[in-house]
Amino acid sequence: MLLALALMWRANARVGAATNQPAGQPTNRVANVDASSTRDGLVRPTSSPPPYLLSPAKLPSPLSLDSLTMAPTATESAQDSAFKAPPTLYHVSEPKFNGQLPQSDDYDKFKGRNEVAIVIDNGSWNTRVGWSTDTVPRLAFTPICSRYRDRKLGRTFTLVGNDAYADSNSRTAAKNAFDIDVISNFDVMENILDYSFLKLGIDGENGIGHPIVMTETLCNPSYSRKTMSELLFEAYNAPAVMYGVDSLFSYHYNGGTNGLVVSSSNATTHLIPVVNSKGIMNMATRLNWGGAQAVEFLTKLLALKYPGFPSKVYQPQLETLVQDHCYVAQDYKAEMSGYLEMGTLEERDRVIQFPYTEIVKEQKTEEELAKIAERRKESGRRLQEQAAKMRLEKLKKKDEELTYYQHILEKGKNETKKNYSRILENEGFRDEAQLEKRIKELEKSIRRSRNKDLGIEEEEEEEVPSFPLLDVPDEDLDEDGIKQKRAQKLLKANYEARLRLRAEKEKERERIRLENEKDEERRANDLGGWIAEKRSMRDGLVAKLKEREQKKTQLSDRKSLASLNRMKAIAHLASDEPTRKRRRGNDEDTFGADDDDWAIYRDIAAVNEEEEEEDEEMQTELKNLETQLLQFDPDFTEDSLQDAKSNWQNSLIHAFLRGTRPFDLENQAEANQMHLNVERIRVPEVIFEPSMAGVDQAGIVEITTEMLLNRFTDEKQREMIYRDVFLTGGYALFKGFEERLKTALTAVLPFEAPLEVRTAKDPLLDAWKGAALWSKTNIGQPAWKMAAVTKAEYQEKGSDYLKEHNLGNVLS
Amino acid sequence: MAPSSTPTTIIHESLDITNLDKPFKSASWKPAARRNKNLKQVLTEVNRAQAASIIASQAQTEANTGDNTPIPESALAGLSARATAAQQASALQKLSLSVGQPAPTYGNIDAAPSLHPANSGHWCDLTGLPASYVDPKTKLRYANKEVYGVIRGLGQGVADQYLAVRGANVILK
Repeated sequence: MLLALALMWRANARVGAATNQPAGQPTNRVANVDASSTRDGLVRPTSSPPPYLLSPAKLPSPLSLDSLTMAPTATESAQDSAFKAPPTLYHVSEPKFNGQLPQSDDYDKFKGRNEVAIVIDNGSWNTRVGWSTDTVPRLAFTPICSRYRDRKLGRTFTLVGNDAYADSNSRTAAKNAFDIDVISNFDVMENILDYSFLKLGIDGENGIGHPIVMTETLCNPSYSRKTMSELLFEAYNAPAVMYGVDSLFSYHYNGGTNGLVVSSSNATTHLIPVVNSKGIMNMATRLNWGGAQAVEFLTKLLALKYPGFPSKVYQPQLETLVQDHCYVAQDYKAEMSGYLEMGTLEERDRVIQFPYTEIVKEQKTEEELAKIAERRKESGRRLQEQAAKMRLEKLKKKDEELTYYQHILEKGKNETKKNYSRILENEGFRDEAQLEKRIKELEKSIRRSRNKDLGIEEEEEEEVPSFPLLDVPDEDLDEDGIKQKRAQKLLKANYEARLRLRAEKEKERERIRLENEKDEERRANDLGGWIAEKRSMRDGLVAKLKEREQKKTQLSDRKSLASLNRMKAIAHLASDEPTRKRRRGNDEDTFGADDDDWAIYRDIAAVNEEEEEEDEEMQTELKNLETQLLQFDPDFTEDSLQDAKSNWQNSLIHAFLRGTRPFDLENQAEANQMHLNVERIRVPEVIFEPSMAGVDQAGIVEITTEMLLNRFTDEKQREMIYRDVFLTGGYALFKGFEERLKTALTAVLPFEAPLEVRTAKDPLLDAWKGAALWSKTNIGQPAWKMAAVTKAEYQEKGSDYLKEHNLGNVLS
Repeated sequence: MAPSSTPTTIIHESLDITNLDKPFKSASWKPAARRNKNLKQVLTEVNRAQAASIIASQAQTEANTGDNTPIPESALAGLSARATAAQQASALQKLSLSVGQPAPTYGNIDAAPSLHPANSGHWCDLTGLPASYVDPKTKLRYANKEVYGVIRGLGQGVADQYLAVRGANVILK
């Protein structure tokens, strides 16, 4: 669930986000999920990015090798692109707090006028609040509230709406009032209402003193409405409350009487037929797709597209991406098919630049460089001096040691043998020979360091050691002698081995030199033949590498022949049963008699280190061959190189991920770029084809046809509805939505149906404006009495009492 | 403890509405306990209430038929058999009407699944392009062999994440 949760980015901002997730996303099996990011950050698989993300030069290997013999043709276009102007960058910034909403100071104008209603468009995207006499809502804010306790101050803060974005502390504590499109968190709702009334400047005692006109979602569950009524009547002592459906208010504002309201908003899409200004509620249909789901969809797509994206991506940024760059394709399949074509991708590809910090390498001046060099030299000199001093001291010590030992040796000549051996023992020597050896060593080392100090290159004469005891037969030696003889034997063997090795190395060097000479000679004499030979060598290597690669992929598939063979071999080796051969009487276990038998262990190793090493060797050899060919073969150009095989210009994946320009992994700016291309039409398209995003419902075109053709029985009404298909809600802001819906509906509705499609004047604000308009014209009229519930009625008839009216929900 | 005056604290103090005077709010208002319910809880309750009301209405219909009600002999004499039949019919009609035209509720206005699955295209799970192939191993749809190469190289579990985007992943419970 980690990834699932984090993918949402909104987990903290939305109540019950976890429950909205398709249950049981791959959890434990996803071993490569790094959950180290913070709560509202993007969590992505890090340890094993898809191979195509490494770099364009390392594009999928086994397949790209197929095109080996194809002549490269992209040289020209490659040069073109090298001089391409840099792309237009669309920057996204980190979420910022834009200051608080204005406080109204004109409440005096409204005080005591209870024919002026407080109009609240209570949507899941924005809460919009204003007086019914206003032309636009005074307040519009996200319906969230953040209550958090500052432990240092010992004080609880309550921040509502956009104020909750003030800093990261309050942002992470923010809770949303809505679960999809229904209010579920009334603590948040209460704070939102408090905040709204405070912002309006209401200061009357004993209640707000104005009727409330509030929108609610289609078929709002009665529990939600009941609790809201309790809140409005009991906490705020509202004189009357009227509820209506947002999209119907919007339709009302746009002067519609008969038509189909298609309201695609943040959380859902509703389709409500309207006849004689009354919503036909039992035909109303909901599609569980809206702007929020579109953002979520884009989030998932981008998290998969750029798994290792270096910057943090915030929810508001994604919302901006959807709003600014997505549009509805007129012919989705046709447009999608050609979307990633290199030639024209430039105009469709949007490069989104996320903020990043460039690691700047300091440029040093000449003077500074000189200074540094001087300093380095100085310190080097000092070090040298120190080393010389140390060497001198060591030399002195050695000298002293030498004289001391020499003195002992001298002394030994005059002493008795017993005394002498005691002295030797005290000094840690076994016998005189050892002492002599030591003296010799010291002399040698002193001489060497002296020479070094004086700068004399001493010829290291290899002293041929003598092994005198070897020729003496064992019988003539005492026990000690035999021991020494054995030691000498070993020494001799060592010495000889060293010599042999040296000779071999020399020979190898000579062989390579000769080979190179021969190669060069051949090249000089017969260039064509040489090239052909080298090329065939190269092709052979490439084929071998390809084979290796294939085997590797085959082994990763449990059911492949290679895997099966491997398992068979393992089982065979592990079995205690005698093999069939042995049962037949051939008792000899001949395993190992042939050296090739051991190769079986190489074959069954899952990760073959040796093979990997070999692979590397072959790669270097290939590279060598290619450099030679590049140098001498006029037909062999940069483009025929093995790496260029996976030329990014012909790569669909490159176009998808990196657009029309080469990608430089080292470039910080480019690493922090996202390319929006197919997503631009893929995301909004879901409303026509919900199965694309895993929503098991029909798309809006199918819903409309089903509703109008099968469920509507009145021919005349149907005709009228055709004439006015009305789009409202945030989704209607997508470019091309209206046209697309019209084309799609024309295709499926009966021939010459008088179809008209239009969009609300302001798809976002018209619900509020409609509610304000309605209250302005109807408060005090009979229609108001028919629609609004007064406080007295609430007290008499209970909290779930509702009056049905043209623009509102019906009792259920 | 001296209040710290970091910039964010100052902003928060100016935004905080906890201690602001709210004269319009009833002093005696106390929110009901446990009034916050998520949509799922709300809908479950609605369903339960509906089921209960259907059972109740059925019970009432049965009572109306008079089959189970002990009717005094004298009353039975006065009632014609025809009247009982008429009563029964009307009750039945009422029931069938209420079943045939259920009131729209949050739960039942959901759009039905598509009846034209053929309409839904097959799109490449990675690039979104029209896809002609399906990888038998991962069940991912893909547009061309280059994308297939990428699919073969996907890390463990990544294919499932791609499938999850269109709700086609296998869920083990």
